[in-house]
Amino acid sequence: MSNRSLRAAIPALVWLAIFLLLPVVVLLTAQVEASDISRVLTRQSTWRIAWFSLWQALASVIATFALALPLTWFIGRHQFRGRGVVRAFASVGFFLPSVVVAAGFIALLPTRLHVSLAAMIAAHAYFNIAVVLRVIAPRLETFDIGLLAAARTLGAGALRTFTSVAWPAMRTAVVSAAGVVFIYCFTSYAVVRTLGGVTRNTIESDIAVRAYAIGDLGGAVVLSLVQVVVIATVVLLGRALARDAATAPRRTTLTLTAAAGVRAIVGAVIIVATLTVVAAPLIALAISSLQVGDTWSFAGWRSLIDNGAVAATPESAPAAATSAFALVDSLVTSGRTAVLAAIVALVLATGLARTVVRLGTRGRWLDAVSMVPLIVSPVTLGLGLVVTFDSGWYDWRGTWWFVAVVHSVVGLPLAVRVLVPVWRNVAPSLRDAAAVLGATPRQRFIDIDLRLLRPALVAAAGLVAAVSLGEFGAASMLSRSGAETLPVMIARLLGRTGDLVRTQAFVLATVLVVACVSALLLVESGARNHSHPRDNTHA
Amino acid sequence: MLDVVDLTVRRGAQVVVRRADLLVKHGERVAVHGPSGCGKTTLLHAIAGLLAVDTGQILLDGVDITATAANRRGIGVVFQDDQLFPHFDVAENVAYSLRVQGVARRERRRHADDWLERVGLGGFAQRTINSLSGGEAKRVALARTLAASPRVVLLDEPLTGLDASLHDRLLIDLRLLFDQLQTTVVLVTHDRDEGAALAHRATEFSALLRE
Repeated sequence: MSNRSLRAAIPALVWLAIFLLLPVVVLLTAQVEASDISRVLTRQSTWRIAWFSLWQALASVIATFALALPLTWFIGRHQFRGRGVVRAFASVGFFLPSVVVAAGFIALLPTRLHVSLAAMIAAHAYFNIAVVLRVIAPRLETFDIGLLAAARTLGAGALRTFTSVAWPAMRTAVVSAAGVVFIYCFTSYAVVRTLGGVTRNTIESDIAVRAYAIGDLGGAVVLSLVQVVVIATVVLLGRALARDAATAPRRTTLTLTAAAGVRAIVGAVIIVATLTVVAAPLIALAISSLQVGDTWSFAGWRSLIDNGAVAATPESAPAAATSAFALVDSLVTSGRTAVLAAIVALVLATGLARTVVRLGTRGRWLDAVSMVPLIVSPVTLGLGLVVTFDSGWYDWRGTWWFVAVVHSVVGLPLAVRVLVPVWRNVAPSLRDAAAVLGATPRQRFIDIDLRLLRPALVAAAGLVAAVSLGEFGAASMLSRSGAETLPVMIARLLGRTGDLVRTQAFVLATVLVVACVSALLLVESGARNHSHPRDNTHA
Repeated sequence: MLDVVDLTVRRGAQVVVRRADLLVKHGERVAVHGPSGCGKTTLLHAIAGLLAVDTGQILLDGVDITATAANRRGIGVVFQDDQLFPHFDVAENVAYSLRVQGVARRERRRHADDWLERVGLGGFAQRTINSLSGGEAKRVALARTLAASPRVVLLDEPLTGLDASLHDRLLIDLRLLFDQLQTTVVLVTHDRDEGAALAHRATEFSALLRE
C-alpha cells in the first residue's frame, strides 16, 4: 500500500484518533478502577436497568414491525402512483431529531400518557418505520413470486411454502432490520429521558445520570462497556442469523404488480393509516406551538423574536418563560454547529472516501475504521470528551465549536457511506481521458471526481447537518448554559413547568422539523440529481 | 516520430506486452491487428502514459518520454468507449484541453465550435453527452482529442459498435481528416478492413513482439 494512497485519509484518521479514540482510552484508563467494575456489576439496580433496556428495546422492535410491516408489504409488492412519495413521507420520522419526536408525542397524547412506557415505545416505533421499510421493502421488490407457486405445485402447503421459500429469501432483511431497530431503541436517550420520566432508566440514560447527576464517572464507564458488549452481541447474533447469502434472490429486477380491486382498497387503507400515524405528532406539534394552555396564542412564536411581547402575556413570569435571547441563541448555535459539522465532516470524509476507493479491496479495513463512531454512543463520546479536554489550553468544553467537532465525528461515517459507493462508480477511464488531454492530477480530481461527486457531496453535507441539528446525547453533555443547541433547549423546556415554556418547546421543535426536512430535501435532491457517471452510453 | 523500443508491460503479476517494438514515422498511420485480449489496448495505454512500463523505452521525436506523465506527453487517445465527460456539454468536452491550460471560456467555445464544424457536428456545442448517438459521440471524442493538438493520436477500436452505414461514413471522414491534418496515428483494431481503409500500413500485434 503506497503512502500516497493513504495521505488523503490522514486528516480523518487523526481527527478520529483525537476526538474518538483518545476520549475512549482516557475514559477506560483514567476513570475506571477494578472496584468500579465489581461495584456496578454486583449492584441489583444495574441488572434491573439492563433488563429494562433489553425488554423495552424488544417491545419497541415488535411495535415497530407491527406498525411498519403492512406498508412495507404493500410498497414492496405493488406498483402504484405516488409510491415514491409515500415511501419518503413514511420515512420522515427516522430523520427527525429524537427530542422533536418526543415533543410531538407529548403534543399528541393526553397528559396522563406524557410520561409513560406506552409513549416511549410508540415514539421508538415511530422512528423506526423507515428502517423496516427501507431494509425489507427492497428485498420484497425483487422476490420472485413465481417461486411460491412453484413450491405449491410441488405439494408444499401454505406454511411449508412460507418456511421453505419465502422466509429464507426474506430472513437477512428481516434480521437486519430487527437488529438495527433493537440497537437504536437499546441506546435511545432523548426519548427515554423525555417520555420515560425519572423512574425509567435505560443503560444509556443511566450513563448520563451517573456521569452528570451523581458524578460517578467510573460507574458510567462500566455501563458504557456493558452497553458495547450487548451491542456487539446483537451484531454478531444478527450476522449469524443472517448468513444466507446463498438464498439471496438471483434476479435483481423489480417484480411488482399493479394494485387493483380489493388489494387497492386494502393498500389505500394501509397508506392512509400509516401516513396518519406519521403526520399526527408533527401536526400536533405545529398546533401546540399556537396554544398556551388551552388558549390559542402566538406568544410562543413571538417569544422567538420579541421578548417584550412575551413579557406582556400573563404566563410569562420570569421564572417560567425562557427569554427570546436564549431561544434565538439556541437557533443560531444549532445552525452554526450544523454548518461547521457538515463542512468538517465533508472535508474529512472526502479524503477518507478517496483513499478507500483508491485502495479497492485493500481499503476494507479503512472503511471499517470509518464506521467506528457508530458503535460508540454519543452520550459515551460526550462523556469521554468532557473528561479528556478539561484543563489548560485544551479545555474546550465551554466553546460552541466543540459540539460541532463531536457532530463531525458522529456524522463522518454517514458521509463516508454516501460518498464511497458513488465514487466507486466514477469510471477511472474518465480520469485517463482527462490525463491524456493534459489535466494534472489536481485538475483531474477537481474536474472529474469532484464534479461527478457534487450531488453526493451535497447529500452528505445535508445528512451530517440533519444529524447535527437533531443530535442530543453528546450535545446535552457539552452544551454550556446560554449556548444550548435546539434539541438540548427543547428538552430543557419540556422538563420545566409552565404553559408558555412548553409552548416554546413546541415552537422550537416545529422550527427543528422545518430545518431537518429542508436538510433532507437537500439530501433527496442530491440523490435525485445524481448523474450516473458510468452511464455515458449514447442513444 | 514515435519509437517504441523493447517495451514490456505488466498488469499485476501478468506480463501483457512482452518486448514490443513499434516505429511510426511523422504523418504515418499504422494499424495494429490482433484478437481481443492480446494486449493491443495495454500497448496503447503504455504509450499514452496511462500504464507504467516495466522495461523498454518510448521515444517521441527522439526524446525519451517513458517516464513522462500522461498529461505532459502530447499523445492523444480516442478510447474505445469514447470516455466523454458526462457532466460537461459537448463544447466543454471538445475544449477540455484548453480548459486545463486556463484558456478563457469564450476562446474555448470558439475553438470547440471550430473543431465541431470539422467533424461535421456544427451546432452540437451545447448538447449533453447523453443525447448523442453512437456516431456523434465518436465524432465528439475525435474532435476532443484533435483539439488538444497531439503529436500522435492513438485510436483504440475507434469504430466498434457502430452500425454499418455509420461505420463506413465515419471511416471516410476520419481518413479525410487525418490526410488533411497529416496526423501521426496508431490504430488498434480487430477489423482488418478498417485498418486497411484508414492506415498506410498494417501489422499484426504478435509481429511487434521480439519473441
